Amino acid sequence: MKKYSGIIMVGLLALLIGLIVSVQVNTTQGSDPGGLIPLAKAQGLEAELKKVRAEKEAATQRLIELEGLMEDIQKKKAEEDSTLKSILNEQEKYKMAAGLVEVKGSGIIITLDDPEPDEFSDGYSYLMTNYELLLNLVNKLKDAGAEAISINGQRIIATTEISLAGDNVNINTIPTAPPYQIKAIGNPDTIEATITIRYGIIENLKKSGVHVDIVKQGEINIPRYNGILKFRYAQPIVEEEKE
Amino acid sequence: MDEYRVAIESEKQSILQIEERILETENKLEEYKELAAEDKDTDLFSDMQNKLDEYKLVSHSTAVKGEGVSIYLDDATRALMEEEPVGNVLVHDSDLLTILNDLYGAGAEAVSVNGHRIANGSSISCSGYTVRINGQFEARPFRIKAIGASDRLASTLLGPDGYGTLLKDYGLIFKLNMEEEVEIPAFPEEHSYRYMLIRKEGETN
Repeated sequence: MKKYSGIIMVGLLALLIGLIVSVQVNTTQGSDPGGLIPLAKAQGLEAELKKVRAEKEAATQRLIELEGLMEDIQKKKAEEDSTLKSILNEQEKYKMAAGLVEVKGSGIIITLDDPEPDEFSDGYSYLMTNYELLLNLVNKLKDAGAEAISINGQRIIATTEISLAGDNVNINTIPTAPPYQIKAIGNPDTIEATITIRYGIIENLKKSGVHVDIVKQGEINIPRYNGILKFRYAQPIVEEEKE
Repeated sequence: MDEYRVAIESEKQSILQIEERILETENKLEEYKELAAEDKDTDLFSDMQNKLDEYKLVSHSTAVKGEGVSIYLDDATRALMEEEPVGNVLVHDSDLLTILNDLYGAGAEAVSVNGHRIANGSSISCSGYTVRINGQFEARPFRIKAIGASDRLASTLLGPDGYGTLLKDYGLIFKLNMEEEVEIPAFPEEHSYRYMLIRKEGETN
């Protein structure tokens, strides 16, 4: 028995220290989030993030270059042929309707961030567990005449799904997390008035403690849908020889 | 720490998407170069026409048919329990939004609600006793059609955690049929925009 007493003592002490540390971590996190993150680890992640961002930038540049070359060939041919030219113009129109081009215009930028954690919070993000709020907000924006919408860089198209996948909210299957930056192109005044209506979605968000920031802007940019849009099941219904 | 993890994962997945598009564009470019060099204008012409048809298809500007599901949704017919809010037995716009979101999550490519094709700008909003879809007023019952893998579409809504199951638990009427072929009309309007313009790649403000 005696030979175990030391171990038990050490065990108890360890437990106590563990408790103290965890209480300490909890209280510190509330007032200063990130304050206890080991600096080296954060720096490592920061470096990794920079690296993948640079990789993405390089890939994007390559894509722009290729698309430019492609456009050159098409435009050169289109100059010789007016039918080709009209096809090119039509292509542009439907690409825009499909969300396959980057767009700019007047609009609104809404930033949503989680409420500060209090003694009742369970450690989960309010905005992520209530992701249907994003769904409703997108719907309201469209109702207010928004012509293009993005959330954290993800272009919202008809087939976009917003879903809780594990610890993340996936938008267009890409993981996202708060703070959420929602951009919408349209009439800034109409959009603002629609969402800030009394008892409306923004008021409800604020009541739940969500930090809301709304900025109207003369010009904002919204990225294109990043994936490849291809239908496998939906086939066009061909009307008999439409010319 | 979590923000870093999500941000890194998000960027990595975006890179995969971009790489996929690079590959596609490279192949297309090779093809176009050959066609241009050999002066095969008719081939170039038909290819560009095909591409145009594809853009029309994915912008929901074409009537489509294919495998999918049809859903019938109506208010509950049961009596209210004591002090139960009436909203519990009615179909709301948020119900329709959630069903659509779940269908898209299961890979739905085209969806219509009471015959209105859902396109990028479509909204579904409650206005009193009716629901406005694409600016048109509709009332219960709701008929939703979706094209995609019918077993996936069905199981996402009818599974134990499915939203259709939840609605049924509340007594609402939710019927889903898997269909070999459903037809969905095109989005009826011209796509015209008052506020947004195409932003050329690399353009700065």
